[in-house]
Amino acid sequence: MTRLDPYRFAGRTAVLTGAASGIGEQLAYGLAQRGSDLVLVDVDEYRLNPVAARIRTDHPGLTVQTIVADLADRAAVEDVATRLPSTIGLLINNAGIALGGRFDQVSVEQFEQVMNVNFRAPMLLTHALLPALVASPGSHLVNVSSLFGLIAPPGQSAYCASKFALRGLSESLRGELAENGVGVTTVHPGGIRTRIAESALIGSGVPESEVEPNRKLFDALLSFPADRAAEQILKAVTKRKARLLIAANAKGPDLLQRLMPVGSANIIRSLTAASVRAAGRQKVGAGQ
Amino acid sequence: MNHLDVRGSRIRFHETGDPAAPPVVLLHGIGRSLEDWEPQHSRFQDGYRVISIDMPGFGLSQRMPTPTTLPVLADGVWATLDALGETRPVHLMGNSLGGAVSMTMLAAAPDRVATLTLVNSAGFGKEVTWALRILAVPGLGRTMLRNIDKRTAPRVERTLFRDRALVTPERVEMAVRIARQPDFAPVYLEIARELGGFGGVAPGWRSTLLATLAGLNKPTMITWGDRDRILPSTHLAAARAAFPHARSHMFRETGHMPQIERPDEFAGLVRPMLAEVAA
Repeated sequence: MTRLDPYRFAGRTAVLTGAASGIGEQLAYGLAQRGSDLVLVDVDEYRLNPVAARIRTDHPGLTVQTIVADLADRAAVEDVATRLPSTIGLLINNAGIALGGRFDQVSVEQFEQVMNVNFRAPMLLTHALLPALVASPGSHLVNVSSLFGLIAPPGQSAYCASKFALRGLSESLRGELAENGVGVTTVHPGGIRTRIAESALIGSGVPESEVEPNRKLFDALLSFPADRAAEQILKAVTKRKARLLIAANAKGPDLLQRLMPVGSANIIRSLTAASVRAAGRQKVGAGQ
Repeated sequence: MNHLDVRGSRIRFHETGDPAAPPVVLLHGIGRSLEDWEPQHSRFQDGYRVISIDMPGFGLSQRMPTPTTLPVLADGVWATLDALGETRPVHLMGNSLGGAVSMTMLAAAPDRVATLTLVNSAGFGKEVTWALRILAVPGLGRTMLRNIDKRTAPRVERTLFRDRALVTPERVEMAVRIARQPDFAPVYLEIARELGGFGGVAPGWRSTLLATLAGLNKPTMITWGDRDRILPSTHLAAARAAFPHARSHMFRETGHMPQIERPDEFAGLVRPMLAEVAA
């Protein structure tokens, strides 16, 4: 495989989905600081506009475009693709949604919505932008999968399916695009402090009594600050790393999964429960 | 070029534009001269009194009698402006060491500064080219600086630019001429040793200065070239953290002197900030 030069941010355009909060918002600030022009995509206009405004004030030399779009909608994703510049240095598929509940507790529609945002949208965008990426040599693609793109705990079937799919696409593309001088990084965040727990969908068949404990569990695992996660991602892009695991609590389970692909589920479940209890007891979260 | 007598030393400066227009003051880096700002004179002189100065002991200016430190350089520039009759608030721009001098000037006289523009400025991290660190090794520094001639000067110039076409015979000739000045090596070593050592840029003066300036909230632009081989562009993040109120810009495929390598972009970026302050 040919070795790519380090990615240079200044003067290139970066397209970023899910830019209004969490890791995406921090990625936007980090990209601007490194001199990238930006196209910021998010469904949440009221959170996206202040992010863009702040960047325009701090970095008057940059071009910042915002696109409000619901990536669950196929036509909306295709529309986004038509509104982007003809050459792009970096595409970061970061937007994602969560869905809690056992497989029998979630509806098929909900399952599909998760697949549409987390997998179909990155697939469509990447497919549409491939010519623009290949057109500028040394460009780069980032797909933000998840810790749950490496392991699959119970109660996360749709989320895991979507993130495993994205990882598969991403890793396969890395080999394909290397010939064209385009780098690919697959990111697997563990517990990053973002809005994903707050904005998670809840399976329609999940009893009310289980909703709050589940949300709390998810929330307690999310202890790693988003700005540090964004810095790690941008460093990995510079170095053209194939895979990036973020937050200490993403690394252990990955190793476990590689060593014992089947028996690991129970261990992870008990460790997760233990770390959540620990997080509840003290201020120190599972990822710190 | 003109000369002025400042505190008994002959200081060289270059001035263009209407003397009644708001003043812009341009400061070069270590071992350099006002020629490093030449491209910006024509880009500001239509609306500003543009003054570039060979700081005391650099370029073709004589040194100050006391050892060269940041406060001595800052005082030398303020005194030069006094001698020019320029007492209004100035738009200060400094490249590399000139950035650190600009910050020192701002700390000393906040009311005399309208805006601050830092171009690949010293002061935001310890990393600096090995060439400057080696100067701190006793004996080595003087030898190195004595050896700047027609053969070695192009090598030094090449580290400053991304685009090698900018290493012109004129620039090389000027570098050799500067290096032949009697005060060149002593002043160079005095300031290099004050700012840092073999371990890089020392944290002491940096943290004091940044803490002083952060509270002033002066309109500030911080720029960097992403291919700077003297002070790495990663310092821009530290600069933004130190000055949360500042605007910033990273120039693409650009080395240590964006004001030369990206002259139009640079002026286009900075002029709106200057105009806002005037309004």
